[in-house]
Formats: sequence, C-alpha cells, structure tokens
Amino acid sequence: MSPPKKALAFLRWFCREDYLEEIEGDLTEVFKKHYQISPHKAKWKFAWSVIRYFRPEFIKSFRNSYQPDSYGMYKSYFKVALRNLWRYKGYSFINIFGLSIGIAAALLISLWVQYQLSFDDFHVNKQRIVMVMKKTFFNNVKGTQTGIMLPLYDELKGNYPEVKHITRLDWGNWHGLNVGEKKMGGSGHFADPDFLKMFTFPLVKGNVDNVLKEPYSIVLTESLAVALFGEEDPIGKMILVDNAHNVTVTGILKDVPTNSSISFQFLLPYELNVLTSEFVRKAKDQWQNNFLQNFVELNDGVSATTFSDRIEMIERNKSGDKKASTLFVHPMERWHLYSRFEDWVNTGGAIESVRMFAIIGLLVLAIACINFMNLSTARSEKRAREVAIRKTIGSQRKQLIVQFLGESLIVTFIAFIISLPIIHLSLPALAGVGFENVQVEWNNISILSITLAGVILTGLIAGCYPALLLSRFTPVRVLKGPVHGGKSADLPRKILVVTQFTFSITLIISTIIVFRQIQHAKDRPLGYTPDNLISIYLSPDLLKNYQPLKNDLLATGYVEAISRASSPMTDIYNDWDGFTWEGKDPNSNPIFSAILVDYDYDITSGIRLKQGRFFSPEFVTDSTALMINEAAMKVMGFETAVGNVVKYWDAPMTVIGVYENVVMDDPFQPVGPAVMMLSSSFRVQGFIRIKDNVDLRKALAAIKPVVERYNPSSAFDYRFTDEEFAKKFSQANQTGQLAGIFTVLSVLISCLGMFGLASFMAERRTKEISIRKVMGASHLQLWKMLSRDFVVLVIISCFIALPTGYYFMNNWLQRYEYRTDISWWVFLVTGASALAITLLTVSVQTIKATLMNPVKSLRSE
Amino acid sequence: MTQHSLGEFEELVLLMVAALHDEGYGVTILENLEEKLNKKVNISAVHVALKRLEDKGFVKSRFGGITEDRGGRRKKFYVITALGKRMLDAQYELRTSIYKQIPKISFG
Repeated sequence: MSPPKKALAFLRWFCREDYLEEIEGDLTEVFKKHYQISPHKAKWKFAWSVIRYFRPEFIKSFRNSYQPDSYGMYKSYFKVALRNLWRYKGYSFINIFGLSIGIAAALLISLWVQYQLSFDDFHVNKQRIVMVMKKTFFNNVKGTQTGIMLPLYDELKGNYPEVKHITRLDWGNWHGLNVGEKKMGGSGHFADPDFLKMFTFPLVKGNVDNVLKEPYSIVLTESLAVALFGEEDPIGKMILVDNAHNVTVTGILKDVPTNSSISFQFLLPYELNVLTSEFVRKAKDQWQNNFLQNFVELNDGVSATTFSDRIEMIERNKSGDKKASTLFVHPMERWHLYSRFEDWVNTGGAIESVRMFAIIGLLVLAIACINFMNLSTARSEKRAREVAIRKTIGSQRKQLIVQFLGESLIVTFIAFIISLPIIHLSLPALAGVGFENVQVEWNNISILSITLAGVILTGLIAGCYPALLLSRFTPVRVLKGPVHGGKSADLPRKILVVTQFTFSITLIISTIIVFRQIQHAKDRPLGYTPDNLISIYLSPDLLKNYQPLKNDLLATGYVEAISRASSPMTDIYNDWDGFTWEGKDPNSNPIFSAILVDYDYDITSGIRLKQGRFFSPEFVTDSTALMINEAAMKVMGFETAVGNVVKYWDAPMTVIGVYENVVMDDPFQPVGPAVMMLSSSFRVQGFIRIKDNVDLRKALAAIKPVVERYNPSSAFDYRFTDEEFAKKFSQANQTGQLAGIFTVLSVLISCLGMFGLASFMAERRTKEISIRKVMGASHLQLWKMLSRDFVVLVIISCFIALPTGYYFMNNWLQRYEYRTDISWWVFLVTGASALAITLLTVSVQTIKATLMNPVKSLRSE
Repeated sequence: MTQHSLGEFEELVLLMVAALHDEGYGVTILENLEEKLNKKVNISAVHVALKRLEDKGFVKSRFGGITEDRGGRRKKFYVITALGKRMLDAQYELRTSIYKQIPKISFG
C-alpha cells in the first residue's frame, strides 16, 4: 500500500527540497485514505496530483544544482575557445568566413543534388511504372528511342496479364484553349484514363474513374483552371481546343510538381487524338510507325527485366519484318538520372552532373577544412603554454583532444550559422543556373539532421589533426622557453597547401575547358544565317492564305523573304530511309533527315549553295528534284552530285544542288546526311527574314497585323531563330556557370587560407626580417625570400594539377563528337594566373613585413 | 486595500487556516474545505495557495510530529499571522459594508 514509485521519483526529481517533505507527506496521507476506497483510483489520483505540482513555484532551481567538476571544465573550454577567437580576430575571420563559404557551397550543392534525386519520387507506384522503349539499328548505328507504335497499346492492354495499367502519351504540345472570348493556351498531353490511376497526379475535383473517358473532355491543372475561369467552378464548362473541338472540363488536378519528368498543364483523352487526327487513325495497324510513348504500371511481382524479355519480339512478330526493332522497358527510377543510351546500353545521364557537382562540393568543403587545419597548427605555439599548463595541472591528453575538437566544433557551428543567410541570399541569384526549383526545407527533420550530422563531421575532420598535434606538447619543454612547436607541422602543412591548390587549379582548368567547348560549338559554322530570322507556326488559316500573306508581308518593306518548311531551323522532325542510288551498298540502309520546303527557303534561311541551284518555280520538273547536303553527298559517294538520280522508294528524283551542312540538331554532334524536297504537305513552319538594318521592333509591329489579319483565331506568336538556337546551350551553359561559380569560391577560400598563413609566417619571422634589414637587405630581396615558400608550393600544385586536369577533361570531351582541342595555352594561362594570384595574396603580407621599422621589433629584447 | 491581494480560493484557505488554528496542515485543510465546499479539491491546489499565503506573509508554518500514516514524514502546520488576520478583517468589513448597501429587495 505504498504510493506509485515512478510518480514519487518524478516528484523527488523536480520538487524543491524545502517543500518536498510536506508535499510528500500530505500526498501519502491523502493517498492512503483514497486507497481504502479504490486502490486503482488512488494511484491515478496520486500521479495526477504529482503532475499538478510540476509548476514554477515547486520546481527546484536546476541552475544551482550542477555537478561542478566536469561541467565546469567544459565551461572553461568554451570560454577559452571564445576568448581565443576574439583575441585573434583576423584568423578567426579567415577560419570562420572560409568555412561558412565552404559549408554554404556544400549545402547548396547537396540541396541541388537532393532535388535531382527527388525526380519522380512522389509517385506512389514508382517502383512499378516503366516506359516502353525500342532499340533500333540504322546506318549500322545502334539507337534507342522512346517513340513507339500505336497498335502496341491494344496489344499490351489486351494480351499481357502483367500489365496493371497502361497509357499512351503524345509528346506534349501547345494547344490553343478558348473560353468564350478569352484566348489562351498551354502545353498538354493526350493520355488514356489509366494515366491518372498509375501516376500520382492527385485530382482536386472529379473522379479518377470517370475523367478522360469521354473523348471530348479535358482535365486542367489548378493554376490553368484559375487562369481560364477565375473563381468560377470549372467543372462542366466548355473549352474550345485549337479552335476546332469543344471539350468539357471533367476534372481539376493539383499542379504538376517541378521535379516531375512528365509535365503538363492539362490532359486530353488520347481517344480525342484518334478521333480528330487522320494520321493517328491510319497508324492503328502500322507496326512500324513510331510516334508516341507508352507507359505501363506492372503488376506486383513482375520485374522490369522479365517484362522486357516478354515484349522484346512483339514488333518483329507483328510486322513480319525479321530485322525490325526490339522493345524493352525503362523503369521510372532511372528516367531522370539515367536517360542516356549508347549502343543500346543505358550508360548514364543527369547522374553524371550530380556526381560531378557532389565531388566539387566536397572539394570546396575540403579546401575550407584545410584552411582551418593549417591556421590552427601554424598558430599552435601560441597555444603551447596553455596546453603545457593544463597538462601540468593534471589534464590528460585525451581531455585536451576533446578540448580542441570542441573548439573546432564551435567554429564549425558558428560557420554553419553564418552560412544559412549566405544560402538564402545566394539561392535567388543561382536561379538561372538550375537552382530555380531548389528550396530549403529546414522543417524537414531528416534534412536537418543530415545537415547537422554533416556539420559535426566537418568540424571533427577539420579539428582532428590540430587536436592531435596541439595535445602532444610536453610541458617541460614548452615552459622552459620559447619553442617553435609549429616546426614539426611544417611538412604536413605544405602538403595540405599543395592539395588545396591542386584542387583549385584543376577546377580552373576544367571550367576553362568547359567554356571553351561551349564557345567552340557556338562558333561553329551553322550553314545558315540565324540572325534576323523569325519563325511562326502556320495554322490552317494561315496555310490557306499563304500566298496573300507572303505578298502582304513583302509589301510591308521590312521583310526580305518568306518561306515555309516541314520543320524549324533548330530541329529535325523527319528521319527517312528508303533512298537508293547507283553504286549504293545494297546491305546498308542509311537514314536521312528530310525537310519538305517551299520556294525561297534558301534566301529566307540563308543556307549556302555548294553546287547546282535551289528549287525554282521556273522549272516544272522541280517537283521531283532533290537537294542534298554535303554530308549526304559524302554518304552517296558522288563526285559531282548535280544530275544524279536518287530513288526514294520507287520514285526517281534528280539531284539539282548541294548545300553546306546546316546545324539543326545537337550542336555538339557532326551534321548527318539530309535532303530537301519540294512538297506541299506538312509545311507548317513559316520563316520570315527581316531586312538587315531595319529596326526590329518596327518590323515586328508591321508584321503582326498582317499575320493576325489572316489568322484571326489566335494571337501573333513568333520565335527568333537565333534565340531558339541559343537554347540548345542552356544545359551546357548551366553546367559551365555552376562549375565557374564553385571554382571561384574554391580559389577564394584557398587564397584566404594562404593570406592567413602568409601573415602568420611574416609575424613569426619579424625579428629575422628586422636583422636582415639592419644588415642591409633590400625590400625586393626580403619580398622574394618571404614569397618564395608559397610560390614553390603553388608551382608544385601546378605540376600535379595540369596533367590531372588534362586527363579528366580529355575524358569529358570524348563525350562530344564535335569538340575543341585542349591547347597548351589553357595550361599556361591557368598556371600563370595561379602564380599571379598567389603573389598578390602573399605580397600584401610580405610587403607589410618588409616595410616595418626594424627598431620597433628589435627594441623589445 | 493592502498591497497584497487575495484570490478567492486563497481567501478560503486562509479562513480555514485561521479556523483550524495551529491544527491545520495540508490534509486537514483539504478535508475541511472539501466538507464545507461540498466538492473535491486537489491537494496541490491547497499547497499552491498555502505557499502563496506564506510568501505574502499571511500565514506562518512549523514542522510538527511524525505519524505512521505519512510514511515517516513530518506534518507542516500553518497558523495565521497578524497581517493575515488584518487582511481577513478588512475583507470581511468590505464585504459587509457593501452588503449593507443592498436595498431591501424581495425575490418572493
């Protein structure tokens, strides 16, 4: 019949001693009385009462009750650490500032890496979703593509029990969306009803079992719905798509997250595409017409590999073509990071950038840590006496190691705190280089704990070497007289400086070469003139009125020429095989990019003729004429191409001209063979060449009303070809700029460290310098003497970094077919600038040291 | 008014301390209050009030004898101080004087 023990222990733990006896006594007495009525209730009541005492009046003051021994020691460590930081403000600044930049850089990169790794992570079924792809074999080249054939959908859906859900998906296009008088547009996909069942794009309104079923319906994302309908409820409202089809809104989706491989503003049923496009309808039984994507959610227990084996031969069996391509599936987890295929093998993709930047981030952090190590060990003699006295009083080495590790943890933690505002300030500035969707989520416990663990690890790594070194001093030697305890650390310190500069110089070389490669591709001859060239999409209305449009545009006086073709200047839409010519190897089946053009395409785009002439209305026979590029001429093996007959399947075509290779696709790859034909179909890309030396704004203002007159259903929308071309470099530019930023940071941090070391060296040699001065040494001699140590270190770093950089960058360049050479001047410039930066950094200190008045420093002895 | 104020429950506890004169400790005060008020009171509430009264100087305390019931812990007896008594008198006077001002009303 005693009160609950735990409650009592708790009371004794927190309650003031002078109240405890009375309260315990009263509580026990009350408990015993209650116990006679109901033991169970009494216990609860006792515990509840105890809890009710847990209030300020009754809680004892813990502040005065600490165990003075161990805690006091830590307090002393802490105090000494702060005093040291405060006393040597310069060093502390270099340490902390360098570390905070290093930590900020590393954290920013880890945020970016985390964002890259989070792609498609939000799909609940991510482990089961796969994309159907195919392996092709053309021109003796093993290719891999995501475009597949239409009939596969019904085949997989009907005959493969492994398939839980399946959807077709087009590539996503811009579609006009009109609501009453409001004309808008957006990018959307055609998808099947299963799409929303397999992917985690949650519906806000509408039922997942009903949306996308009825062909004339549409599902909008929330933000598009607001843009179209404002506050009104969009469900059941009508939208006119592409000025042709009335569809009803049946569902509203949450906006697609930015870290999604599939992105869209709205979804239309794929059946609508089938109903409204003759091309698609005709493709229903074509097993070799590849123009859409298929996504499958597999049933539990079916692996991607087994399913790949199951579907491999479908195309061959269905089409009867024994050489046809084979099918396989690519699992969702690899879509974003491993998107590249070489020779049918999944070799990599974005993961390479992720790895590269992860390494750069670690390097920058390592450089900052090295600063900390070097400055701590260099200044070790300043702390030698403290160590000696602590040891004499009875400190053990273990305790001293704990003390110095603690100091480095304090410094790292301060640096971490300072890095937070740096991160917040730099995130918006980095938006242009791939950070626009990267966010700091400090409320995420796992991110926070990983970050803190990283910070602690950084502190321990940075602090372990100084801690071991500092704790080694023997008191007798230190206390007897002045020591140069730092001597033993000279070699390791030099090695660390060399490591630092090797990292930095390698980064500089890499960045220069990345930018040179981009510039190289930008500067390559394009084969046409992208400036002053705009392209417009020719809607059915514009196509119908093409001739009057052309005449009216030319009449504005701003337009040099106008033409149209099946594809824009910056992309290839058609790859055709089936060409034969005299002397062709019957076993090869080369593939040609095909562009269907109109008259004046040559003067509008500015392509350059090498042989023959361009299509002309004066020659009626030009309907069966062919233009080929230089690469095609090489493939066909013609000496003089003009006049040769090339057969396209059964139709003979005469080559009338050869034009210079035009860079349309990847600017880092060589231009493939291409042909041009005069044909009236598919020519929906309009090109307008604006005259040189006219005001672009005025020209556009003159063109706009003309185009809108013939195309009343939508607003004038145009693209500058040079801008479109520049977009091809956005990915490469981002990588280059990011690498550049972190290179600058690493150089900055290295120099900070060197600055600190130089000032320390100059300080240590004050007396030596003074005596040399008294003996007659000149400023120049002294400057040389003091700078030499550092210059030697940097030269050694150069000798390590230059071959390393060459090795890595040479490997990197192999990825590009069209690549720059690594010329010697890159190394020369890098080496020279590294030396220049070193001298500049060091000289601030050495010059100060040599200018000092020797009387002042020698007087003291 | 004096500089210290008196809460309603505090006043009740103080009255009880005065009534039990030198025999009042936590449990007796609690039980008597429960009887008078006809409702359950938690012992911790009594202690809070007692500590506040002691801080304000309205009561003082002393340790008493050990009894078996309390597991060997001493009782702490409370007794009202002169200041406490004055406070009670003032409260009583105040209440009665206001009460007297109530006109004769009948709720019959």
